[in-house]
Amino acid sequence: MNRTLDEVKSDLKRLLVENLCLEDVNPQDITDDMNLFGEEGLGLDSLDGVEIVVLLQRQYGLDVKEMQTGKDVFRCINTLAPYVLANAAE
Amino acid sequence: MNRSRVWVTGVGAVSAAGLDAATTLKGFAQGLRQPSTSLPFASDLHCTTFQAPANLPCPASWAHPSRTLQLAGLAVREALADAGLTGFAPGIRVGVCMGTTVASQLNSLPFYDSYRRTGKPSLQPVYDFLGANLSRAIAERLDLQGPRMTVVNACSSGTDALGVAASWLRAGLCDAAIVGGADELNQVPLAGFWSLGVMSSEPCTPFDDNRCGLNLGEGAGVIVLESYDHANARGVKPTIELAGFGAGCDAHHLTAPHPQGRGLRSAIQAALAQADITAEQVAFVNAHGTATLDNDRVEGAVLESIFGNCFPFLSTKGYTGHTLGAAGGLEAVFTVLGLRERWIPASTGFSTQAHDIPIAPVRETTPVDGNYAMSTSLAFGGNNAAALFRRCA
Amino acid sequence: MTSASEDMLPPVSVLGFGAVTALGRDVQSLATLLGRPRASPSDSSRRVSDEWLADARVGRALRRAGRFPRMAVLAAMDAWDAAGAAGQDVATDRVGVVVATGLGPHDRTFKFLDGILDCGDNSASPTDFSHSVHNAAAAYITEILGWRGRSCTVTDFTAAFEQAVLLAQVWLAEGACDRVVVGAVEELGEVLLGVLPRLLGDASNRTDVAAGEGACFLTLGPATLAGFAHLNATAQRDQVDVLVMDEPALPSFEVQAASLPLPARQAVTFSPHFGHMATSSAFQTLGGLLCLHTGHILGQRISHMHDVRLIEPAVAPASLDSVQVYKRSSMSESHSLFLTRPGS
Repeated sequence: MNRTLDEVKSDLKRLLVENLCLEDVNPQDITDDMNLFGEEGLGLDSLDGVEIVVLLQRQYGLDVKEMQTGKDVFRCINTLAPYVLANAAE
Repeated sequence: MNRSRVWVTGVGAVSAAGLDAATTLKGFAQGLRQPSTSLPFASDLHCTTFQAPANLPCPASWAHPSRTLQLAGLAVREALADAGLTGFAPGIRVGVCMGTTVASQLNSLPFYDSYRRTGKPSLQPVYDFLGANLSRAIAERLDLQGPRMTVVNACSSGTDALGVAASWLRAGLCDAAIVGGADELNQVPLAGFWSLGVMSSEPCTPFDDNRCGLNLGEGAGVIVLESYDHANARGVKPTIELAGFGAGCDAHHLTAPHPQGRGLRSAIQAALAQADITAEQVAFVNAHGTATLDNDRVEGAVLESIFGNCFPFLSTKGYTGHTLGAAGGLEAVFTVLGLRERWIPASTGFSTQAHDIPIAPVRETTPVDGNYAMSTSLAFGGNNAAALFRRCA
Repeated sequence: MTSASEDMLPPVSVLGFGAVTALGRDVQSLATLLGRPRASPSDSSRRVSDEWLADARVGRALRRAGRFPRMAVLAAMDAWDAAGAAGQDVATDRVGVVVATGLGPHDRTFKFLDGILDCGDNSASPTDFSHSVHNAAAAYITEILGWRGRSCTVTDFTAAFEQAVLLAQVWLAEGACDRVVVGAVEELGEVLLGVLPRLLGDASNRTDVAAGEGACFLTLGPATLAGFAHLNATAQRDQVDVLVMDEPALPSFEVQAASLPLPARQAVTFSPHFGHMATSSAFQTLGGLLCLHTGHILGQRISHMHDVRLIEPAVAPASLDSVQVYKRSSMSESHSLFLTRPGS
């Protein structure tokens, strides 16, 4: 994939805000180490979680089955971006 | 006055487990499960489903493009025959209350595909949809006068329909009611449940430690309910009654159950209270048991806290798959059959006690000796319902 | 005059009502708007403007919700607020909810189908799916308002609201609930508007039908509680002060006598204001409630309509006591809801 890690991070932040209807959030407000799920942090829930799985599949060709095994990958942008960079389809 | 009691006089069931109740029971006795690995439509999905036969026996008056309506018609006709009813006397009010998911939606992919491409699709799918409101279609074909309702409460629709009809009968709004649920296997909810990450590609394993999701199924389960006066007037002495019903909302989340199952707990307690019995008197429970991580964990915990840890229970979804709007209807039928026949089948698909569930379902055909049995349902959107049946003889 | 004791169920009290419609969300100003002449017939639809759908109290909770659950939540909230402290004074597990809809969230369904057609059925949006089911509205209502009693979503193409009101009455009469918040919700959408002209054109030569959308909810409680009106889906009457019905109704043909609307001193419709919907009778009920509440005949007169039988004397505002909300489904099937002024 022809993006840098920083570019992937900002792509992901934009993807989340636009697709999860986080109207009151600016992509820049999502810090790299902010918890995406749970009340402390961005406050996403289980429905957002499965929506993200589909978004990543559509956007980066990431295999859905693999995504379901790695909850740690979803913890924050810092854990998600490297995973996307490493595994995105060409 | 006997108006407070609601009697079950006939049942009908069609699913992957059989075209009628008798065939289903034979399969249950053998622990026979018949999952399908291929789908009746072109799909990118590879998953296990439970399908009724492609060609359903269907008289001309019930023929309709809606497979959901055809399935419902099969079960309705069987339930009426089981009740010994060829029709109803003039002036008798018969309610129809059916649950469904698929029949309520205009979700024809060919129609929408054509609309996107041409802007002028054939309207036939729309006409078909408008003619397939389940309760209305059944009432029209049987020429019934009385209250009617099509319930779209997702996975608890069939059980909720039972509660509505029982309320109608007790209020004197009708003398009898045809109640249950029906849903066909449809690509749209299949894609939907897959996208939610709650579907297993393998045959489902309810309450099992290795469970990893549900399989969709299709079918229809229908029960004939009557007031005592109506049954008595035609010389029938019913032996099974719908003794209690309860329903409650989690008020928690659109797709996830409340972690402590508060809505299910209140539904079960309300049903027990209405029947004026204690949990110890319940001979067995037909649980919702979809084989998803969340449902089985939450439901298992609630059942254990109310019924203890050595009561017989099972999920029949290992035989039928999750039939959505039909599930509550089918499982009510199976609960009535369990009381009638005095046995319940193995909870097929289960083999290993789950580390996160304090109880385990029956592993083999099990005799049941009490007079009460319950069916529970938990739905997306947080609806929970419990129906309690009593055997009198 | 048929007596109330022959009704199958006792009436219930309307403790509050709320609505989100093409005319806005403020039911107080609605009476003024409904007193004005009908909107231009060249309008093909009665849409709910986005400005009526914003509410800071529930913005985050509704972030993923499309118009269908959004309209329902706001109208249900308003109906509950309007019931006041006395109306709201019940435990959360004693509040029931019944939501009626004919077409459900079809617009969101087609959005879900877009995903299937564009990306494959193994790559569709779970958020679109979970919002495309009819019971999404009730799910949001119970979650946001915190109601843990019974909940039922019902669907029919003509009589869903009447069925919902009947169920609410039954639940209250048997003590399953102490309050029931009952309502209807319909949404417009591009596909529906695209096929509607051909659909109606096939059935009749009507081109003057404006399709509508919106949500209208009532908070119901026992008739012993003071409220805006008494409501009864099982009432038997010989005549009423005001008849409210859709206009135009189904194409005129011979209607069985038992299915005719009752003789009335005045007959009105709110169809030009709200538009037509499968559950239009919820909005006609809203209009009828406002007639009783204000003591004025609102809406558009329909004295000319087939099957409307006017009786003398025409009702004087001070004695406006009874309303029939009439919905015809076919030649032989009609449904009625009766509103009466408490104490009349």
